[in-house]
Amino acid sequence: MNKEIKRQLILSVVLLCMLVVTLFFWYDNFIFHTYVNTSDYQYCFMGNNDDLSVNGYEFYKDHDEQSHGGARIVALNDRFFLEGDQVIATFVVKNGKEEMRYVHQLDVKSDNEVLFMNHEKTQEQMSGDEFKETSLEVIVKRDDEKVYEQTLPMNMQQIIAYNGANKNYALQNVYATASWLKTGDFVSTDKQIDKEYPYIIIDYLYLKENGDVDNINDYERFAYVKGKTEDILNGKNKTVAFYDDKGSLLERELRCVVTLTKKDTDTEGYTFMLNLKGAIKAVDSHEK
Amino acid sequence: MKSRKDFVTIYMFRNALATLMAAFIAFIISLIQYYQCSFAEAIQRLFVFDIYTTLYFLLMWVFDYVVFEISKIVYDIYEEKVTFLPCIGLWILCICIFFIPILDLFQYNLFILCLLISLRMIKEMWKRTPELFVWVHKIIDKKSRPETGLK
Repeated sequence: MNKEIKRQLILSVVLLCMLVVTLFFWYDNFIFHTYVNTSDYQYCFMGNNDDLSVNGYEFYKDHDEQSHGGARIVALNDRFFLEGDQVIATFVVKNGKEEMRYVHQLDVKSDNEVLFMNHEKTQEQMSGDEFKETSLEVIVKRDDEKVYEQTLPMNMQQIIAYNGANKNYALQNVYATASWLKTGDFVSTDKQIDKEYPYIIIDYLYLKENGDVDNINDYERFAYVKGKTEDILNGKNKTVAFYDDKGSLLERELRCVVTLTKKDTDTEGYTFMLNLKGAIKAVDSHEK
Repeated sequence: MKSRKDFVTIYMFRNALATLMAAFIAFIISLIQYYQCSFAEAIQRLFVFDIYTTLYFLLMWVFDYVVFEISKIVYDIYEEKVTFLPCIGLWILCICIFFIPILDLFQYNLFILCLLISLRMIKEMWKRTPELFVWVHKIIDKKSRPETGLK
């Protein structure tokens, strides 16, 4: 072996050792950022007619729980809903072979109330192919008499999954449509984060029209999650928000401000901002 | 001298490209399998979504390149003693990798890398020690030979 080859070999082996050590020490960080846990599926529907607008009806599987519901029903005419009315909303899914019906009963507590459906657990594992024909049958009862009965066609909306991360913290699986957003999972490389900071607030902001991307004052806060860090790390405390501003939410820049605090009453703590990037649709079920 | 330098540059570029493809294919297969997503979505996850993923990809590419260069140096040292045995060893290693409990990304990457090294080894053997390929010529001759000597 001549000296030149020996020198090259030693240099390459030293370089290889450095690379292996770097790959080894970066491994955890790489896994944290690259292989993100995803919801098994997430679908969102909306529909409207001249009287009603229904938005954000979900079918999802998250952390091994399958649920449906969660829609907002807004009456488009004044005094459409009156105090004491009972609303029966039935989401109907026809997949060509059978018909599935998901019934929700809502009580109107004040005139012109905006109604929100509960999330209810479902046994069926849904997939995109099953939603061949979807509709919402709405019946309004007043003093035990039907005063309204209509069927609204429901359309599946395009969902974008947003993620944002810095070196040690990440927000994953924030799902959004043009007019709806579901808060995501907060994860950290620090396993003791819930002991160090037991409480957390996550604010979701979107950039106002013609706003400056770099100016935080040009962002509108439209959703937030507040609670115990442990619960949020376990994906328990999720909420949905509806975007009623001009245009589509998907065209807006989205950011999150995360505040970790030691006490429930603290308003200041360890605060940082995460830019949300989304270009990818929500994935279908992994169990095919 | 100048043309030799040009060739070295071309060889380095070719090797860099080959190892880049090895790392790229490994990442894409791993991401597609994990997320059950399309090729376009895997590209986004690799290059757009997170800087840490992209940096790890680049690091793995450099790792592949250095391993490939080391394999070349080792081959040059033992050039005259090289037989098919190291190649067969590499192919066995290719299969064994999938039984080692490591991240599938590393399995795919090492599999492709071993294949690349063995391909380069075969190419060099073909060029430098053609006597190792006598059996190939025999097979080719047999196939092209006429059925009877009368024709």
